[in-house]
Amino acid sequence: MRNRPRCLAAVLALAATACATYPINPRLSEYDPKAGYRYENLKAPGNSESLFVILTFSGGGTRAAALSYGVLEKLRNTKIQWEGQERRLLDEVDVISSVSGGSFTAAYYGLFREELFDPEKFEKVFLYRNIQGELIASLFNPFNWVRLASPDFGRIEVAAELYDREIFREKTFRDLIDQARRPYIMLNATDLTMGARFTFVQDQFDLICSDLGGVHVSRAVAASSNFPIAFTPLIVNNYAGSCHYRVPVWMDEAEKDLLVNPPRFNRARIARSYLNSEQRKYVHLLDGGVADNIGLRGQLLAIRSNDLSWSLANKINLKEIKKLVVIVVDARTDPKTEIDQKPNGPGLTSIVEIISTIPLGNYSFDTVQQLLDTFDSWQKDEASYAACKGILQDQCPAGKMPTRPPNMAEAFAVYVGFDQIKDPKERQEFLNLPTTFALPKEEVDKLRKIGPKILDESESYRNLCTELKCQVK
Amino acid sequence: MEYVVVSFPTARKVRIDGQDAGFTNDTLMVEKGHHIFDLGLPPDYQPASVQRIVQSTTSIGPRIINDFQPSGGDV
Repeated sequence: MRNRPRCLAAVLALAATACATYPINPRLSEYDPKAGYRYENLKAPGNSESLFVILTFSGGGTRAAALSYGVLEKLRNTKIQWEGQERRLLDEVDVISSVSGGSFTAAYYGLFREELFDPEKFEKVFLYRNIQGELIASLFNPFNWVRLASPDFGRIEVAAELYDREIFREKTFRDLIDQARRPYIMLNATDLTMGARFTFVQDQFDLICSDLGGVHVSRAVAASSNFPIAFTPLIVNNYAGSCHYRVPVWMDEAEKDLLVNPPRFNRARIARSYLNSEQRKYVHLLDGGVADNIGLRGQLLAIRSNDLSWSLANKINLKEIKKLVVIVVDARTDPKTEIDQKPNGPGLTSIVEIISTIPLGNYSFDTVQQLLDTFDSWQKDEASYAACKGILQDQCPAGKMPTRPPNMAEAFAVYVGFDQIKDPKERQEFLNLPTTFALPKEEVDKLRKIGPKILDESESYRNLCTELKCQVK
Repeated sequence: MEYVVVSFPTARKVRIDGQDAGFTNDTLMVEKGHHIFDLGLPPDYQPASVQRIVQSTTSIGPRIINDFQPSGGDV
């Protein structure tokens, strides 16, 4: 008799372990390129296509979430004139692409819109909250120990549940589909096996024959901010081959591009890897920062390639976009380290932390450079055409250029990062902020203010604002 | 970026790899590589599509694709 409670507890623990599993992403019964969470399905009341604004939010825990929040506040407070209409610059945002900490702000805005700015909402449930402490408490909860003993329930599931319950109100991508409004929220994680970007949009889920509509947004945010080692990979089931998916034409063409355009060949190779569901029954996802810590790579692709369903190169060719604005919000830091003060190297934890953050920061510089180079090449190509036309008209006034000038969009690249802070002491202060989901209130307040300040000091943003006749509330 | 002009007697949409990507006789921005070009619906032109490798072009020296003709005579 005395053993009965112990037996009961053991049975309950076993039951909890046996029942603990990750929420399984639903199957897609039939591939439909016109349905689901895609840019083309989002309406844009009060948002023109001709002024196309992309925001990218980097990783960096609460530091990144607060910096991007401050930038959104700034855009909300900025009135512009565009095509005879007055509107807020925020209302012209078409796409937000985010990674890790930045994904909390992006997803919350996508789901709840103006509620983001209500001090009782996002600020309370995330920005000024010690989420990190609550995460640790959840992981130490004996009930979760039992569940974590299940091979199908990793530490990332505890985080996803917490975000779902406390921040994202159990909303799914179906809620975003039903809203059908821009901006298009692109929450980026990393496919562990391929080391490639994995974005929570239906184009990506088509490859694995899964219906993104049935996935909780919190899972996308958890995957996007799934710091390696601290958490287990987030698992997505692959049902490829079961929904009559049709491989897009570009994938077949790109397979011939190994020596012509290797990155395009590689994109097709990665996309095809999902189609083999025998080999890849599950996809394991890590922090989006492992593939791209500023969330810009996918946007660069949209700008430079005709392959994406929402290709911006195509939209520019079709004369739909007149001005293209890309605002990169990068919470990269440069923390002081004592590693090089001593002859003996750092421990394993420090090494893991370093290799999963520092090379990514370096890669981000390269990504921003690619954006600048792209816009620069547009200007040069436009200037070359104009110069040739000028020479032809000088030499042969009746002559005509054999082809029309390329249709270009006026491009603005705006970078918001701590390196731009002019005051050296203040700059060092921001560059030494930690990466955590718990920052003191004063630091969050400072982060909210510094984004707008950097924007105001940015030459590119000032030029944009001159053209758009910005008025700040 | 690479540049392509798909010439045709009238203004039509141009599709690159199955997606709307511009208009005939305009200079279009195209990513380097292999692509299939067509004019979409109605299918009143020939050939139905052409495949080309697009590389080493400039804004003043685009790749010209002049294979497409209206089917059934002059326009």
